[in-house]
Amino acid sequence: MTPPTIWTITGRHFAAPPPDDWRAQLAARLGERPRRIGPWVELALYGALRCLDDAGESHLPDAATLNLATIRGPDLALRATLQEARDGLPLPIGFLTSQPSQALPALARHLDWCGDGRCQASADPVTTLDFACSDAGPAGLLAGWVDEQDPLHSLWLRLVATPEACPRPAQAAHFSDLADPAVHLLTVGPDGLRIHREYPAHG
Amino acid sequence: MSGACYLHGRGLVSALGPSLDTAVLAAAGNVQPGRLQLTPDNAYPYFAIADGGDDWYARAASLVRSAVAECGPDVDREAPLYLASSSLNVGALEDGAPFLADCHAFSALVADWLDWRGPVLWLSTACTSALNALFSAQRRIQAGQADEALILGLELVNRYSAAGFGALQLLDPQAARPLAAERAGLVLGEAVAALHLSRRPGRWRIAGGANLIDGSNPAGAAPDTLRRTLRNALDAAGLSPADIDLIKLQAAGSPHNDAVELAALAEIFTPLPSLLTLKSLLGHTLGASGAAEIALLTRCLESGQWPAPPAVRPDPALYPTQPLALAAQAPARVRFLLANVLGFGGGHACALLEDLHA
Repeated sequence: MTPPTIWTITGRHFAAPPPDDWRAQLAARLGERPRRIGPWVELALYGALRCLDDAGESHLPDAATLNLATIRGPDLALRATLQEARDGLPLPIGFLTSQPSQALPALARHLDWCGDGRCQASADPVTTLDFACSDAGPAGLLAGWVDEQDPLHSLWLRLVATPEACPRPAQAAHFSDLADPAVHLLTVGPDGLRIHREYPAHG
Repeated sequence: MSGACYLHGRGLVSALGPSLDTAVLAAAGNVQPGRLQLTPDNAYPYFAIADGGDDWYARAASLVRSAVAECGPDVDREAPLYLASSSLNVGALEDGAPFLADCHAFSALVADWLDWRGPVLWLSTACTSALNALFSAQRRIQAGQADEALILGLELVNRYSAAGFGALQLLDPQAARPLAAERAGLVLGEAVAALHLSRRPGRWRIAGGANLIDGSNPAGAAPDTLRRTLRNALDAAGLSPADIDLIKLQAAGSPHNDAVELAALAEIFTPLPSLLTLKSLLGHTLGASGAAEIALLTRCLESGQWPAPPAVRPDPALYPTQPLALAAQAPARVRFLLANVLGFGGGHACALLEDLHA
């Protein structure tokens, strides 16, 4: 087996929960309120754009993959639209907003990206990160964990493969450690999540 | 990336029957969908699995176990399991079953049905879900991160998806008419399809593939992006268009997508290789379609039984330079086949398989 790739975190948005005015911030960032997408996709878009901003990228390169992980997906939209369906009402917009896969074209449009991507769910966020890294393209990946409940969060990492010459991440870590801005490198594989911290030099 | 990935086993439960062998025989004949009644005055054609049962979960468990059992006894339950599905358990929810804790809870339930102990991942890219699961599994096997993987495409009857696609005017209210001039949309179907992938050599090698998401039209294919997908897939496999002997079309009966697909293929493949569609036999099984159609097609090619082409006259506008014909019998030799799947949600996916016995 090839050794796990060392990934540099070039961008991060790990605020949970997001600020109360996150939807207003998203609208300001886009220049308008996003249309025809549900709240779960808006939340994903908010975090993804903040992450790309942090990475200093104006758009996601086509050669990067996009991986959107969730544990509940657009569950609230599905519940509401299923109720509409029981009442016999037509449901085109509700149906669209209840489909997790519809997040991908919305993200593609607003990230100015046309590449390989997927929505996925697994038992824990490190497993989804592991599988997402396996699918990464030549320009790395943009990986998000987005849910509307328990608690509201839109956590994102922009990862780029790093030459072997850098320090190999050795410290075993939990997913929550990735919120630490000092965490600069990571590997993920059979040994779980490993990280390496770099602190800015003083003086 | 090194190493190769092979299709080691397959299973399929579909409108064509409870196994691949029954499906291959049924596919050679005249297959007609039934009707899915949404309201007393609203029904659509639908390819249902004949196996009934009122308990949604008990039926799903039985179908899943059946499809996986058909893969053979040597499926490693410690390997990654990819559940490829658009609708998950919505058929149970719409009949009043309580919501499960989260999206993963249904995957965990499926794993429990199979006594699965390896990592379980639900993957959702609408209609391209199973092909994307195939690509993900292939990458892990080729990188040595897994020796095997199981792709489980699962799409079971529910009125919710039909009502949603119907409301978006994407369904044909009359019949499955892929590529016909009078085509008016999709006809949905249900399927549980299993693909057992392994690094152990088998007859079919996963030669390559590509997936691209395009945000310009969430409900339809984009011509440039489909061309890029096809070229990326050929490049990934180290193949040229002339190497391809057979193309399994998406051809779901969509007025827009059927036209985009044929135009893209005509631009890249000169002349077009043999073509077929399986949507008039299985229906569009959404997230399961990639797995269901690859399972059926590879078994048809092995058995020499050729699936019946749709009983429609192809739309001359789809391929103006010469009459468009779907293969009425198996090509003399199929070494490389290309499987196209276009997805609701801007998904464009293309897989390439090599028959090592050809």
